[in-house]
Amino acid sequence: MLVLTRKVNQSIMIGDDIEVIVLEVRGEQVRLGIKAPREVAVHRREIYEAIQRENLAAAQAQPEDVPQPQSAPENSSARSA
Amino acid sequence: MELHTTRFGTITIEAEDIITFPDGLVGLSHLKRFVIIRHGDDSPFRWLQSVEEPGFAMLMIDPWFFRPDYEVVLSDVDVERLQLSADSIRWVYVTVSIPSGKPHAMTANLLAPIVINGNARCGRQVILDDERYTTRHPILQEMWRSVQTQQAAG
Repeated sequence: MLVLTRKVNQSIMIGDDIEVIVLEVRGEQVRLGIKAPREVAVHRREIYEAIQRENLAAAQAQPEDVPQPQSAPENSSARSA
Repeated sequence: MELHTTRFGTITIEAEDIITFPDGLVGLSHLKRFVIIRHGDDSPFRWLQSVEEPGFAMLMIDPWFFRPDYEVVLSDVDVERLQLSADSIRWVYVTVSIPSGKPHAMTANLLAPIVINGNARCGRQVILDDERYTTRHPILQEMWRSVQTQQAAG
């Protein structure tokens, strides 16, 4: 991994069109600005990973696991009435 | 044409049934072509079945079935990638995960809905910038409540 030291308002370029700027450093928090082409998706890593995890979980479901609203115990009497 | 799937066996699809996700799904960018399979005639559930991987099908639900106030605000990039125009038919689903043996703990990912342009047959998993929504929203109670409301009204 490439490691670079930057000060506030300094930036790094990734290729020709992605720029990451250090905007503010406050204690343990760093605010970054990212300039990237519109088609480049930029997300917090934990959100990206959480969505990936949910996609994989949704793909584990089997048809027999899926509840049928009309067969819910608390609704069956209301439905037949 | 015939499509072989692990869950549903061999199904017959038309070329226009295939929905292309140019950027794939989040974290699964290699999967780009899908068909939507209804879980049942009266069910709000759908399956997003991969055309490329027979074993990959994500469970989804119509979010407004249990969350009538759900809002999807698309970014300019989303609109562009989905080729959306004012009169495009839009379908929105959210993915559902059911923990093994615990259907009552079922959750939906309201943060990253699947949005489909029904005219252009293209889709995208968008990531909303909305603090009200999480990737693991418990839905079962809201779902039964919605069903009861509908039945009471009907």
